Amino acid sequence: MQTPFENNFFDLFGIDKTYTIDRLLLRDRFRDLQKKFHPDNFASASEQERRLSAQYAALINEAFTTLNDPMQRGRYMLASHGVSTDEENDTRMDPEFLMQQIELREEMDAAQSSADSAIDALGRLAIKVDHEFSKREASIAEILDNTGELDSGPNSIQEASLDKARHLVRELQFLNRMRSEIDEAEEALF
Amino acid sequence: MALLQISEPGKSTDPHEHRLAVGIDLGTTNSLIATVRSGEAAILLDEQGRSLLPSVVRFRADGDPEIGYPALNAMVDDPLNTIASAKRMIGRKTADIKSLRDHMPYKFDDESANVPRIITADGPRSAIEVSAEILTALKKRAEVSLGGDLGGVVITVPAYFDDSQRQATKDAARLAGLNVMRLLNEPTAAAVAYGLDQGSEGIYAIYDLGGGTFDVSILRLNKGIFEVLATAGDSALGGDDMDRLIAEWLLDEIANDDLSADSHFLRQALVAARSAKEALTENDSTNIELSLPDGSSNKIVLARSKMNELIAPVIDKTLLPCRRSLRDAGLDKDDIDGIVMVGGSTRVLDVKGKVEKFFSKKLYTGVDPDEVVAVGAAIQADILIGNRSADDMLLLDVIPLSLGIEIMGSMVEKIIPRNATIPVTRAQEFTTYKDGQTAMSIHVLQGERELVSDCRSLARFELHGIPPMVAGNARIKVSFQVDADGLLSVSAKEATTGVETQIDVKPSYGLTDTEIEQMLRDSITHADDDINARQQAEQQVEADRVILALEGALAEDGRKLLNDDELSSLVTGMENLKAISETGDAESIKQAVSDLNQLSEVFAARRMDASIHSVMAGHNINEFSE
Repeated sequence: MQTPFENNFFDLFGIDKTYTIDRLLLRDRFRDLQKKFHPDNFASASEQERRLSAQYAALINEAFTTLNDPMQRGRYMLASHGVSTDEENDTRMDPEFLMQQIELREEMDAAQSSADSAIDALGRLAIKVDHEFSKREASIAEILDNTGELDSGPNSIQEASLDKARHLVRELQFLNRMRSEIDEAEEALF
Repeated sequence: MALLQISEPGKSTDPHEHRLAVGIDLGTTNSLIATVRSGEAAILLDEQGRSLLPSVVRFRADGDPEIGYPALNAMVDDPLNTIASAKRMIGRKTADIKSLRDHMPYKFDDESANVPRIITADGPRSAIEVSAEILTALKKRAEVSLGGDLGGVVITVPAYFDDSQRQATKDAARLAGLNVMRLLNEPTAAAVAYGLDQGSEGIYAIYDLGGGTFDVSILRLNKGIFEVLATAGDSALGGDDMDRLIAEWLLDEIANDDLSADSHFLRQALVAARSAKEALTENDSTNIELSLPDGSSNKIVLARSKMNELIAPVIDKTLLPCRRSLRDAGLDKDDIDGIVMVGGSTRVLDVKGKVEKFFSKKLYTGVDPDEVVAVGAAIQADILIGNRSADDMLLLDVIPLSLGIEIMGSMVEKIIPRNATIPVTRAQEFTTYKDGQTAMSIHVLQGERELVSDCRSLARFELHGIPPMVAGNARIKVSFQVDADGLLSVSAKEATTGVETQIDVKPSYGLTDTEIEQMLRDSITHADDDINARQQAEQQVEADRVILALEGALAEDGRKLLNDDELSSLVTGMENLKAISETGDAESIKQAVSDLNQLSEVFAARRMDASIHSVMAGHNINEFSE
């Protein structure tokens, strides 16, 4: 399928190309588009229209999922600046962040084994992880939404900023994983 | 992008004609069929005025099966030929239902068969065929009470059904001669039945405990959009399991070892267990009477408190998916505005009690839990067939289980995560691991676990003709597409050469297309029903559909989006199809349709893009005026 929107999720929803987004607006636009393109609107149409509507509806879903998620949105925007997060081949992380991860993990083990207060301890840990997550979201926004610098600043500064954003996005991924492990640990208590 | 209404062969193409569409709840224990008449959804009754059709089929040596109540009544006397709860077996491999089979009185054929078949007086029968008999009975009921042929149906399935269970259900409908417009998830159907009437907004949990399946879905209802945020469940958990636990207790109470091998007695115990369970929704205790093979009878008293103790494992097992669905939706119990209770098994008092306690929220039980799913399916069917504007309502559903493929070390790499909104397309690149490797086998799996052996195998296929390259240099792009029915198709392409393999994922242990064709041919009883004529008529309908759609599109946007050359080539192509459609055979019409589709692809895509712009333009105007 060739559509100008395939590589431009922001235009698809008609919203500004910024890391900071209005999620309610995004959701509204997503719904408006699905109301028009979802295959349910084409159940009695020709085979071609049914197929195209499925393709467009899938694209709209993918675009929404990508932009709605802070980590995926960051990765998507970096890619549009020509920067790959390349999780598979580059496993280097900031040592300070890794230390913090180890500490959080130790805290999680301790929380799980604290007999009566496990649920509270895990709850506190979740809040901590969420806080670390929000801090990085804000830093990513500071970099990616500073379009003046990214578009026309000196090359060396652009590169340094994008590399910093790249690290932050990858840290979001670690924190996401941590968060879902906490949820699973909570679930296992029942 | 007008919605066109096209009639089936032999019917007029008047777009204002009300077309017959029904919703079918194909249940483990009972099935129902409903339709929308003058704007109101109604359950269609049988000739005796009953709404439920017991999902039981008795195969007889004379080849004329009994379906519904007569079969239900024969269950104790003819346990081997009377098949109940086929839904628990549909789309499952012989090995998958091993534990289930231990509790069933039936005799199964060959262990190694892809599709388990039960040996009956009328030959071996698969769960797909049993379901097809039930669907055929419902179809007849609808045609009698509505007085015409059905244009299309929506069939509900448990949200937690995997790809092969969904495919098998669709195959059953095909055998019954039904045009399936959509497979709809049962909890979503229930939400539609509740939500549209009451215009509710907010976030709801749908707790659906049926005879053999359990689903929980978390939905956000807003301005006519039903957005499923997460779903979880167990496609082998339900009221049947409660009956079995009660029946096992009965056997223990009687303490007679010979009885546990007696299929008549087992059936009798199960039937008695179910009646007792039903009686205990009203009374604190109930009397159970069982007749023993020696002619004596045995009376046992079952108190509700004792039953609650017996069935507690089943209810407790439903709470884990409840927690998981909340987590996947990223919500807390506090975010939920209400719980909709669906399925006959939610009549059990302790189910209501424990669910209410778990969520600490109001339970909605206003609509009959047996009927609510069929009602929702009927409303959806009415929209899909075009009797009602699709602007009224939109359902956005999700895929219940992650999809992935096998990678090195018998591990599964997930490609589409569970709870992704459908339709969804996702592609991933893989590479060769040996120098000069020219073929690659791709194993598609569904499930959450990391090991291949813990997930369900959906299909295996091979991609040939990869040009020999150094290991790691080939780039094989595997694309997964899940449609709005939750059904998967997979294609693979080698990027440097474009070698492509496209497969519809036919479950490794489903019926093959050839088997279905054969069954269909066998089932055509009228000698004069010429299959060629039917195929030609079907192709003519598709040709008419394409021509009408294109004419409409050209009138609307032809001048705007096409240059003169493009326009005239499309008009020529259309005239060509018109000519062939009148005289050609099925094959040549099919070819002409496909040619025209290819010719008009660019135009259709431009119209879609233009339409996206117009949706956004509509926004800007609204926002200025607000």
